Amino acid sequence: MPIDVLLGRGLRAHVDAPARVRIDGDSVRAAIDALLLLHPQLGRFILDDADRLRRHVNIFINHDLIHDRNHLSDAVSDGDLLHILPAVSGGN
Amino acid sequence: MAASPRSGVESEAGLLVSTRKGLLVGRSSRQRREWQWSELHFGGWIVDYAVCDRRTGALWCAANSWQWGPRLHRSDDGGRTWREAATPAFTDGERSLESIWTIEPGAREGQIYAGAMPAALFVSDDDGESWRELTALTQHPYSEYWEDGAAGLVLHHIGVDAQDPHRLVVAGSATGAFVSYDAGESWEPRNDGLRLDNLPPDMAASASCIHSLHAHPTQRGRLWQQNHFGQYRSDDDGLNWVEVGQDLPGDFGFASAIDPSDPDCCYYVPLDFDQSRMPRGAALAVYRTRDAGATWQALSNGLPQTGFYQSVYRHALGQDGCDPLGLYLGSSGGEVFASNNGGDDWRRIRTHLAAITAVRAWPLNDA
Repeated sequence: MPIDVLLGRGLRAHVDAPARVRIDGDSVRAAIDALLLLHPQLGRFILDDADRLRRHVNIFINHDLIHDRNHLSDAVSDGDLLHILPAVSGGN
Repeated sequence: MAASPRSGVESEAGLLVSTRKGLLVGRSSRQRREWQWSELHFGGWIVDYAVCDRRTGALWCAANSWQWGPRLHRSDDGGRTWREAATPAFTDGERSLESIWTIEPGAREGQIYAGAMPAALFVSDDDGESWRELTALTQHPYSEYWEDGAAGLVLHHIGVDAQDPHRLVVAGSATGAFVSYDAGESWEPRNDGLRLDNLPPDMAASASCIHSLHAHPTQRGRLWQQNHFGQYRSDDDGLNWVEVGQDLPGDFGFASAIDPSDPDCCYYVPLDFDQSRMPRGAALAVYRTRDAGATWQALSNGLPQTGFYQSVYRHALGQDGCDPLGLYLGSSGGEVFASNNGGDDWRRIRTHLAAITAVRAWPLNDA
């Protein structure tokens, strides 16, 4: 099912990728896998070396934060917007 | 323990200043009085450590981002341009690399070590093209007792023996010190005799909080360490430790440095105590021994003697291996001080930087 992934400005400051990417997937995991097939350079920015969502990166399905940051098993539906955004919890 | 004999001649020096907002590359005049500086590299990234591999002239930089994670970068043109290199990674599906705290050129050609948070030791055998963890360290039974320091659970010092590629000495917070004589396939803890105020006495050997540790390149077995509760010397690879800092103004501290041509010479920056972490009396001084810790000289000429409400982090004291020995000190308030005469006199050479995490220098005439 087609969904749109929206990549935040803070992420695109480091990676050459479009702001909006249309992919197919029925879960966040499937969506991320499809996204990384198109833009593999995003992988290390979004996922850590244990393949979990990085601690200070958030993914929203529409207006809701995902629940499963480890396995990304949250379901997505046709027409959902998946926002990948840097958290404000990190900082220096 | 990479051999770095002094050149015997006046030399220009290179200096890598790692800060919590990026990296500066400095190049000195021949007498190391004047400095030319690069623009800020990796602006906004936390640079935890940068070092020159004197064998190849390559510069290595460990940069980190809260959001995007750690990266390793390499420069082959003296820091003018950088390219992202392979970054060490865990492969167990459980641990995730949070930062790289040290990079140490190995004894063999193409060999480089990296110390990480969470505490782990990585090695590359192909000049940083790929990495693997030396898992025997984190699988040691004493790892059960390792606990986070304020900055996390970190392996931050690696001693490599240029004469014996099988010998390694590592230390961390709070992992204690370990020695390997088989290139990291097995490890022996080396913490007996340390005074620790945070553990029951019969647990002192298991997980001391070491802040910095150096293995001397010319005298096998000679180690120096600053830990959470004192300054120590060992003459037998850590089998026995001798407390040497009783006369220093503070048993706490992070940074230390050795003179690569004199095993009896060591430098510390004592801080008052662990709940202060500033120099006693707000007066900054480096302390030097040239007799293996029997006596100490306070080196403060040119350093702030009033109102220095800052700290000096564990990698923020470095030496350049030149003759006379150059020393470099970076503060948590973003100031860099340099001495071109073994610490007798100091000059402030940079201000207004972010907190300085590391200073590492090298003679430019051998790279």
